[in-house]
Amino acid sequence: MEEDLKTLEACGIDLDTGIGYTGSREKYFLALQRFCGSYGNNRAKIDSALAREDHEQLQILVHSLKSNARMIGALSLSAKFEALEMAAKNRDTETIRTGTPDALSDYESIVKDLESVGTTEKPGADDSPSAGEASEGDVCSPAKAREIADGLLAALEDYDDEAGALLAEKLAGYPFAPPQQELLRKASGYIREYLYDEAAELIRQIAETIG
Amino acid sequence: MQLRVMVTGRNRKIASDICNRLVSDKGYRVIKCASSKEALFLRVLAELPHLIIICLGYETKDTVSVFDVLKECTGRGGITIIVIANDTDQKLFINNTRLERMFFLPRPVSLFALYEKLNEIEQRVEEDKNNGTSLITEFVNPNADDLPPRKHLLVVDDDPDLLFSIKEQLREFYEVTLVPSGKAALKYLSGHRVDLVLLDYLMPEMNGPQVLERIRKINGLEQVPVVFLTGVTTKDTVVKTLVDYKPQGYVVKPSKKSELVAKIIDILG
Repeated sequence: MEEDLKTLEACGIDLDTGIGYTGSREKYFLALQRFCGSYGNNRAKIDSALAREDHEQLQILVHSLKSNARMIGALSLSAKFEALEMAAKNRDTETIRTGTPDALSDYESIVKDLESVGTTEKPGADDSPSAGEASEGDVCSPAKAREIADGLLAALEDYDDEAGALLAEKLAGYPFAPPQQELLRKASGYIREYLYDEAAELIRQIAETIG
Repeated sequence: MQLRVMVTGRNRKIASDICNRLVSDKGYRVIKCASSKEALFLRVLAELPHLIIICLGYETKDTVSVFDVLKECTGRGGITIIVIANDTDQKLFINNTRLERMFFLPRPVSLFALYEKLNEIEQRVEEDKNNGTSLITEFVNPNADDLPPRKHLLVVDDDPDLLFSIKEQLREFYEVTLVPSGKAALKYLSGHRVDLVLLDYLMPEMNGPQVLERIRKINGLEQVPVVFLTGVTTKDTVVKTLVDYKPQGYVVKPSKKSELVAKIIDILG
């Protein structure tokens, strides 16, 4: 971990700030993982907002990214997002046009740097064995799978993200067909984003196929 | 007698073993506590343990210095500290904390030595009680199992990464439910009660003030405390709406854990 911290500092990350916000080194690395794991999704949303010239949506997106970047100690990046936020708020299309490529380039660069220090096991990557695929030794029976699915739906009804994530992982122990595996992966992704109703809808579909 | 023992520290394996032993062998009331300043401070005040066992492991200057928060508590007497550590962590602890008195127990832990010390502490506490000299008076709550659950917070923010971070900051003190939108918040609140809502100010579709307005119309939630989460750029706007919507305040995000917890304690107690 010490080596990772030194490398992060060399990448321009203000560790004192980041650890100050998150409270501990362990939680700081969790925040880093989330920051990198959400890059693809966030980037897609920003690109979409720019293509549609939806400045209101852009403002909301960079408003969040400004805080997240600050939280991990990427202060320079946070400042760039803040400038973009103000530009979007003021409909300053010139600053948006000139400032966005620079901010996005920095964003991409920081995520790549973080990946290079091995702190970025992206949560819920599509190849995660826990998201939709049975791993040897974890296979469960149809009865057990139905029980887990019921528990999962109850957890999602209660907006319990931790129980939901755990039960979704257990449900992956049932040998679903590939389409259901894909739905379960999607549902796990929804749970990570706290979209409980959307996840529940998919789980109901999956549960109907349990033999 | 049943001592109240708080067990804390980064060496979770030893901490866990000791907790289990103290419960099964000695019948003590064991309180597990995270080794952070805020958790230690709040839990010691809440639980008033007779003894704190700190299980050190792979420490640094920063990690041992959190235990300085115990200085005030132990300085007033009545709380004994036992530190379980190897030589390296022991030296680090001595050189980087301001605690005046503690007992060190090396690893691997000798239960015999530990229990001997515990017997001494039991005797002292018993004597203090009989002589009326103890600063801590023992009270055994016959309704311990009925104690109220932890306060429940609802956090509403369209940014899942921020939701995750806030829960990580608050989970050791509170039950925390996370939702990514005003719509989800209102749905949750229609069937659940919470003690406080942390509400993002700027969200798509339904912003913070709109959500707050609707919360206030839910039967039973008219008085639920609401704290806005705001970025620096929207702080001025939030301040202006404090008069209209009367939330219990705001917190600028990202917020340090201590600031966030302090704000919540300020409102909930």
